[in-house]
Amino acid sequence: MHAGKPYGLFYYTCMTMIVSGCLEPYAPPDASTAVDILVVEGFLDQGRSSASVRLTRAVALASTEKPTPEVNAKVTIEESDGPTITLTADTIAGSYIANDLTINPGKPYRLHITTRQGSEYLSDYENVYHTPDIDSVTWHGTAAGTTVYASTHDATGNARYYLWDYVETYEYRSAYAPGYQIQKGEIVQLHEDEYVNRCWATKSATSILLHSTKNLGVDAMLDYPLVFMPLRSIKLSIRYSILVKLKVVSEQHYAFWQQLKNTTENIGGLFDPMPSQVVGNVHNIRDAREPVLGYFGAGELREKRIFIKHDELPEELQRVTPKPQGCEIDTVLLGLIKALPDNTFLIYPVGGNGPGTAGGYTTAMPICMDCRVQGGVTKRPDFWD
Amino acid sequence: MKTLYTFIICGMAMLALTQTANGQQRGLITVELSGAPFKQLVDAIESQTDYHFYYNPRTTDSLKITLSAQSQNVNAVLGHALAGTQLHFAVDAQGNIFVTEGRDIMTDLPADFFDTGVAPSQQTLVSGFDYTAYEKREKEKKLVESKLYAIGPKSSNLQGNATMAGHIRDVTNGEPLVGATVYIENPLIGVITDQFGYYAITLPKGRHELKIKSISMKSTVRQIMLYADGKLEIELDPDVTPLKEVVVESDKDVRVMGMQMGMEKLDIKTMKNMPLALGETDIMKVVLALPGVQSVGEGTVGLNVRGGAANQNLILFNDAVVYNPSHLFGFFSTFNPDVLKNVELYKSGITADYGGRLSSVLDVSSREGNLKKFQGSGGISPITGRLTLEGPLIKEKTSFLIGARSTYSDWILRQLHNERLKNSQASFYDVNLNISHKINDRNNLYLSGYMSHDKFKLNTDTSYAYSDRNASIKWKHIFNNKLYAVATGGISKYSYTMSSDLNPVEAFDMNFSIQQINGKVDFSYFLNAKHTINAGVSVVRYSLQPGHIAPKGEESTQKTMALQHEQGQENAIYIGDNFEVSPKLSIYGGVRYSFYEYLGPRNVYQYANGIPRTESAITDSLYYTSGKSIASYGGLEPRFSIRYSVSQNASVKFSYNRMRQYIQMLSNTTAMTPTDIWKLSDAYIKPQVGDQVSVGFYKNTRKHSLEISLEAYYKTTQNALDFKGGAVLLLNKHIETDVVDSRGKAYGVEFMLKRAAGKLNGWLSYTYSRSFLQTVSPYASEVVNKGDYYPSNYDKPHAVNFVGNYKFSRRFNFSLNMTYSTGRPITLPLAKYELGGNYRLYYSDRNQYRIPDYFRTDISINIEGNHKIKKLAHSSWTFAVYNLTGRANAYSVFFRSENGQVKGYKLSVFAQPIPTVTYNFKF
Repeated sequence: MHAGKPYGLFYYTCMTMIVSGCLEPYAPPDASTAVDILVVEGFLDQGRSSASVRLTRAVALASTEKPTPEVNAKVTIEESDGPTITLTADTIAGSYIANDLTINPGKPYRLHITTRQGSEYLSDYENVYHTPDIDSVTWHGTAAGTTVYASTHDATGNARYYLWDYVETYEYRSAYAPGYQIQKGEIVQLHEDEYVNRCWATKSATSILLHSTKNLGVDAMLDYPLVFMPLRSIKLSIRYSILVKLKVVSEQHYAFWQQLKNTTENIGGLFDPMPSQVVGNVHNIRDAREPVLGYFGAGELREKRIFIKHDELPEELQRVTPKPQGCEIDTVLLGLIKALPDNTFLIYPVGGNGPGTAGGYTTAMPICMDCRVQGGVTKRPDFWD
Repeated sequence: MKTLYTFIICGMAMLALTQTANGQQRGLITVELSGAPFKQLVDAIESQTDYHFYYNPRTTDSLKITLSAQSQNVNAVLGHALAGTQLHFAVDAQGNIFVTEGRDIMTDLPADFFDTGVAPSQQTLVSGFDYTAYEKREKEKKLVESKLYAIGPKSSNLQGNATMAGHIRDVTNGEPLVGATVYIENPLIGVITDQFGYYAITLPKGRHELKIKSISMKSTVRQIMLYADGKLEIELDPDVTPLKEVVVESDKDVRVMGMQMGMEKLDIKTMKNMPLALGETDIMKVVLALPGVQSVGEGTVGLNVRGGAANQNLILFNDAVVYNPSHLFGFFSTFNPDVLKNVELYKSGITADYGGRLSSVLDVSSREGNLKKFQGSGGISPITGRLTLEGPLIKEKTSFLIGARSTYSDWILRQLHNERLKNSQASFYDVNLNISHKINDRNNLYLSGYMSHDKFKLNTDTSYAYSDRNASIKWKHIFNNKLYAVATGGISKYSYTMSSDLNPVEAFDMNFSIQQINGKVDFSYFLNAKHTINAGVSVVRYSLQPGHIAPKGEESTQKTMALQHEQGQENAIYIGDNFEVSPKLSIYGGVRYSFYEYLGPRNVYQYANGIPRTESAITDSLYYTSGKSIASYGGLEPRFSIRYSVSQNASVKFSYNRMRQYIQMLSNTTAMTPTDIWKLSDAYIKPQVGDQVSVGFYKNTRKHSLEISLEAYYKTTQNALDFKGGAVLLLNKHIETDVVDSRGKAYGVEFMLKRAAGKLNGWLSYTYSRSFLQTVSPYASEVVNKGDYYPSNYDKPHAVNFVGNYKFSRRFNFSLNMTYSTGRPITLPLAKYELGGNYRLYYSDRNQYRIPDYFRTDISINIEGNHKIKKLAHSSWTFAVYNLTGRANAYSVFFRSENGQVKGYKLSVFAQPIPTVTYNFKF
């Protein structure tokens, strides 16, 4: 049975639309009240012989700040009746790592944290799970758009609980390619390495993708849909890449993510399960009632990357991505250009009086010229060849 | 109707004849009588002259003649003898003397006058006269009201009491009238007809004027001479006259004088006047306008009565249990308004004959078919169409009623341009069939069948279908005036299926069903004027198929899995006595003993002691063979009420009742869903037990036109079920590992001001109520909100309802309905945190916040066609606007992480005014 869906009746919402239902933004009453809860995200990776733990603090709902990292904590992973692995702080604040480990897949492990303030936390013991390879990552286009699928199987039939994840990277262009910029009041022609019309954006999965084959006769998953990109999606406008990740986890670990999915994605309808506090497997050793969020797991991470080029798409999907709204070219006379703010991009000169002169420059809204406004970076990723 | 014509024609004939004959002499009479019966006078006159008398012994049998006449003519003798009585006489040319009661023969004759054998002779004489059906009925009514009915064999012993009984029916279709009041004024003794329109009243022997009143029927009286126990059938005229103003008399005294408290009764006529949401009268929505009844949101059918869960209501349709009374997620109820008669909701003071659910009893009765003629009715609204046909199978003995309703929403969906909706399907239908048969005066048989079916698929690849079916047979036997019995047998079945073909490899079909077979024998015994005793036995056999999943299609690798079937039996025996201690004080005391067994065959998991019940704590499984008792529960359920009249117009009441419930719905969603599962009490899940005490004060003012009531209640629930976070309820082989025992408490005050009669009628109610739950578990991992009491999903402290109707004229009616309530509790996120590259939400303790308050106004206008009795079809139009102010009432509030951001949304269902037009017809 497809996880959660049949019972969730999430599409109840659609039905209500028939009778003129409506959805409005809603701000909860206590959105800015501060909270102080430790968030733990830890994984012991047998495949890479490494461990990584990230410690942060939860933030108020309305807060625009990033979660505060928990720095200077003492983080160890303990093998049951075995040695202790000490993790060291990574360059990213709140991250702790350890490499070149010897992990015994037959032994359970647990996480042990002592924060700067002296609070001590322990996770439950977790078994190390073997993850089968990702058999394939494929895609298929229909008139509505393109879907990326992944398949795997476990010949031993022991895997059963799968956690999928992915990172997407795609190349895209801004609507116009500016050649000039106002720098300190002067119009400066851009060098090739300063061009801002070609970007690569990287996005992680926004929804929790999990799947269990518990009720299936065969421990296999064929064409599990991961991402859907509608026709004219910017992701497929030039070239698209997806790195698919797979972890086999314990039943409890799976249930944790399932609950998290239920409380953040499948709620709100009267026929959806009521949200509840999702508590992981990490606890304060002195105060069992203190909520600690997140989960420590152990196992293997499998990865597979594929690329999709725009011109590989079926004919009916090769459509131009529309420009962002309001992307019209505007001409600004030379005399008025000084009034524009610094760092404004200009596209090309117009109305010149002979070579090397200009009566004015064309320009447009930043989103139409600077691809970085849409979330990407101009640095080409290493794997992009 | 033909017989009636004959009577009228004869009457006319007599009129013509007697005009000329009156006053002729055929001899003189000498007679000496003292307190003699009328018969003696007749004998004297017939022996001395050749006059011949025609009269109805019944109209004259209580007459005592004292007369002394010497050679007088017949006119003088009779004039003297009948002076001061209701009797009239006329003499014709042939020497026939007609004695009539109540009126002069100039206008009419008693209907049964002709039973003595005089045939209509000269019909031609009456050509040119025509009476409308209405006028004819008026005449008949006058006749029967003035006639003296002798009850029981005549005797001179008028000491003590006697019981008379019978049925009150609608004259137009023979349908029994429920809740009609039958009473005498001096001394004030009254009863109310039961569900069969049956009444039994114990009165002092002698002459009485019996008054009969029933809502939307014309009040009438009967002159009775009560000699001994006897029978009187009474027919009432419907109040459909085109007169200017007729005050509708209803059960006005019931609230103050009746025993029952916490009971609301609505008949279909009241309900049809209320504004409607989707062009259809919906009894569930009307019930929601009553104090103490709430729902978690618009478009859900589950009722929460006095802080109880939606599955704690016993919903009966003609005595068969209905498990899911909703169509289309609750936008409609499954009860077709055209076949309904009335709805009774018991919130407290539940009598011993009901059992099996904690919170309330919603007793829905359908009409009986017309015993006299064929007729039909129906309606067309923007979403549904319905048709009802009824009529006699054997005239005056057997009638049928069949009603069907269906939607064309599938067709509407296909017309939409939205892709998502185009691919959706939603359809439903329901069918009702009733047959009632009068075997003889003492035996009646009622058959009822009901079926509802829903199917939908909402832009997903999962389709759902559910169906509720039931049938019941009821046999009423009257032993004598004081004792009657009703034997009922019924079967109810609720089932749903779910099937998905999203991924051919995982395509499945899943189904669930619950079936119950029940039998009940109920005796009503009118011991004497002070005691009415009700007793009976009931048996319910449950069988559940709690879940079965199978692969769909050849590619599917879905494993077939079936949960073990469940069986249980609930037996009950009960007795109750309504004791009228004095006119001021009456007491109801009753007790029900219910006994329940959870039966094999079944494999039952055993769990380790002292640790939370989880899958890993399973130590063993025990097999119980078929019919073997796995667990048994039982106990007494006392029921008690007392009424004390402070004055003629005011009373106070108190009641206590305990209820036990052996079957519960498992749901961890806010509202009832079609795919909720039901579970029998077993070795681990104990039956729920509820206790309620309530007190009330009732007062009628200004000639009963205003009724004021104030009721307060406190109730507790033991063994209510709650669920561990993220519990999986569907296809769970060991559901006991996911549930947590909890207890509930609820209390509240309900105030209601009602005006039942007059041009302006309706009610205004205010309710303050709270409802809490608390998990009871020794293990910290199993408790919700640290083991404290927390508000239930349906805890809405303040609720105000206004329902008003204004009759501009007989044809034009305006209704206004306003509802306000506190928003329901919800669990809100308190903080966000990053996990797996996205923001996640950290939620508050359960139900610590509330969605915004709810407010809605609806109006409707009813326009009836002309009121000519004779026409092809009667039709009416209803124009209604639901949510007139267009307020976007929050249905739910929820949060989602979208593109790495946490966004809060408020969803409302009817965010705009919804106008509808409905055309109703009747032929």
